[in-house]
Amino acid sequence: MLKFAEESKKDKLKKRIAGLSVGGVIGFVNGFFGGGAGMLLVPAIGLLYGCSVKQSHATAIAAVLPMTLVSTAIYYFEGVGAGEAFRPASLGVVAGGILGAVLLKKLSSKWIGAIFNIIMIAAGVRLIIG
Amino acid sequence: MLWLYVLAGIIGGLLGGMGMGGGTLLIPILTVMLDVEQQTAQFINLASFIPMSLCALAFHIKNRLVIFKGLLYIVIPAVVMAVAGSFLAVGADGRLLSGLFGGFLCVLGAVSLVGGGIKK
Repeated sequence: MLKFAEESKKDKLKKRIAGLSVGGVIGFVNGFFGGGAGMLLVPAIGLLYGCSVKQSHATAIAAVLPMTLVSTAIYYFEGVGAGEAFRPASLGVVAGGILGAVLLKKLSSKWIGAIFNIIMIAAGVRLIIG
Repeated sequence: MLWLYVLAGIIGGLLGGMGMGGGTLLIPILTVMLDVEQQTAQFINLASFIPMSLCALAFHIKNRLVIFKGLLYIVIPAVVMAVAGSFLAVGADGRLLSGLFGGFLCVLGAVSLVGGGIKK
């Protein structure tokens, strides 16, 4: 990466405005759809900060946490989320997450990502059709 | 029946743990296959992110991978807009939200697919 002597004030301002916009949009989307912030924020952070993929992932998690806490609280206090699915599904997610993190080291591949995206589109179409 | 929820969670969490998009598939698995209400599925996705991210974050901070500088520019508007988004979601009709969520998945999947292809 080319290194410039110093970031101009204009560039800093542009980045801050970009950050505010990105934050606002992703916060809204995360709250409205109950997810997806990570997928949107990782590339956004990579672009804004020019950092490595690992740093983007790590920083995105840090940023998503507060907005998710707020959304979770609102859903909860508005009465969403009571029900039989919550505890078992959450347990499953945590277990799956640990398993996934372990597997990542062994299986990481672009194909899995592509397949995942295709499944996502298919699921999306199914939901739209109803 | 309960173990089906666990299974759905495992599948959703698995993909998230591999760093590819978190629980976004968890929600349609719950709603389409297990008849969970859209907002409830969204809540489950949001809530289960919290313990996992706390653990992951501890590691990432220790490994100095998190960039805190300037992060508030993202976090503060995100939190404010999250309030708006959340209340709108809670008040929305479940089936409408589900259909909109479907559109969201299509966009996410397409963008991510193209983005992944370009990165080569």
